[in-house]
Amino acid sequence: MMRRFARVFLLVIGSIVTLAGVSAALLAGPDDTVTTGERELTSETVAFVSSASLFDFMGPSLHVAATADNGRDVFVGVAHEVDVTEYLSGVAHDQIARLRFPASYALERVDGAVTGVEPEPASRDWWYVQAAGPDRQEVDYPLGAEPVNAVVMAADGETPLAVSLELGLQFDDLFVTALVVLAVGLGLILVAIFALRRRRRTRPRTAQPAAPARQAGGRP
Amino acid sequence: MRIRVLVAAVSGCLVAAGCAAVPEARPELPDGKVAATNEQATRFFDRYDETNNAANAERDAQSIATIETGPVLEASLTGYELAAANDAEPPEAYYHTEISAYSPRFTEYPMWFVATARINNDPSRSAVLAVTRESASAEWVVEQGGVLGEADLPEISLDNDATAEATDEQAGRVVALLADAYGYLAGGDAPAGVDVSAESLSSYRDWTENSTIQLDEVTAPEITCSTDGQAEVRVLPTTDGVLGVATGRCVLRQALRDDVPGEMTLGGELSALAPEAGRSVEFVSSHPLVVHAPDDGEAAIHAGGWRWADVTMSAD
Repeated sequence: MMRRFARVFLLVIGSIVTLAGVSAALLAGPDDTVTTGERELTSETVAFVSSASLFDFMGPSLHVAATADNGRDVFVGVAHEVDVTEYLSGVAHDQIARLRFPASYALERVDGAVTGVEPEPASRDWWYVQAAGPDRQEVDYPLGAEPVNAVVMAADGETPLAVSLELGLQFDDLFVTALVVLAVGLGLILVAIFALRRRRRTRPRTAQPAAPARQAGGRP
Repeated sequence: MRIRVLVAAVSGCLVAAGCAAVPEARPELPDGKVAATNEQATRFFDRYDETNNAANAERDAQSIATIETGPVLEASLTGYELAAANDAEPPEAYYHTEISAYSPRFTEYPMWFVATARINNDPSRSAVLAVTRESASAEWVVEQGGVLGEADLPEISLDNDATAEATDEQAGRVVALLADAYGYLAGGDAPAGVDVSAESLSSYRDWTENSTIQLDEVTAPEITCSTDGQAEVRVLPTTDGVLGVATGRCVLRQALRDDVPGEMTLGGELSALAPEAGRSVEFVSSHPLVVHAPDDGEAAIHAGGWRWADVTMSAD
């Protein structure tokens, strides 16, 4: 009874671990990055800004990529929230308050004047990382102890804004880890199956003594 | 055996999970950020040096105003005026190297930082400058500071890359030491327990004693020195006490004696700043000062090269 329970337990655990490994590998991909995928976003305001509380942990790298619609140049950058808050002070913008991987953004409007900002974002030297130009622009920033905002806006700092936006988190070696977890899960399943087979093979056969001839023939 | 396999499998999962960087909660830090990292300060001084050298070569007031403000800008503009009037050669280009930036944490603008640097990697030419920025949309500008020569500066006290906020007591010690510096500049009395051997201090004393108007009809120089109100005193706690960065402003006044009628005009190079006639003249000079007040031992007043801020002639 205990042996059967252990085998079933191993199969269940192995299946769960295998499923976790497969899911993590599919989610992360070979670039170790869990992303929202590209999402079309439009706003009458000047910027999409991730809330600093959205990434209140350190370790992974924040990945931000955007493409502006209509061939405009786009700007993406990551900076300390003190700088971003001051830069966008008094100007309406859309804050990404919540995020689900891989799903949608929950946007909250920060009230202010619906107008552009000056000077252009790329001219500021307080961005930790930044990229600007036509086509897809992307940056990666390793999340540390300082609270940061990811910012996406038109490179000229003008409204309105229409972009394809992708946010992601890159975990070092996540894909390899997922594969290892997958392998461990499969190993557990194999062990369970192997143990099951061996259990059957090694089960001692029960001797079937031949019936006495006289039993077959009735009472002597 | 099966228990061993199970333990091995679970351990394998844990080891496997350990392969990836596991996110950690962000640590509790004091609010805000340092004004500039060393890298950001270095990028600023790269831009500053390029603009400053070009502006100095062309005496370009508009250009220099994009990178300087307050007492430093005033002295630069006065220098351009004097150089143009006297057809002086432009100064040699120079560069700030080995830059380190120090500031407390700021939760809002304006922000400032104090930078220490060498000039052209020369260990005998150390510079201390205070740099300020009004808003995230504005540029960094140098507000005060100068080249001190071979100054032995103390180690700035840092916590999480930021300096501690100076206490009132520390700020008070800096103000007291600055008062000693102004007393020495104005009257020549060296304060007790304070090193005032900086060459820029004595050169101003020499000028006040030997190069002012030496005429019987003119009164003796009256000198008043105080902190230039165009820039705040920047105070940084050090591992052994406190450091202050400020700009002294000295006004030396001479006038025709009351019993002497008429007016006078200024001769020499400085006449370019005040060519009109008058009864009194004020020579205003700007003195970059870095004062060090250790908890124990002798305090020191370091000084960058003093420059003319203004010369005015008036009818009074």
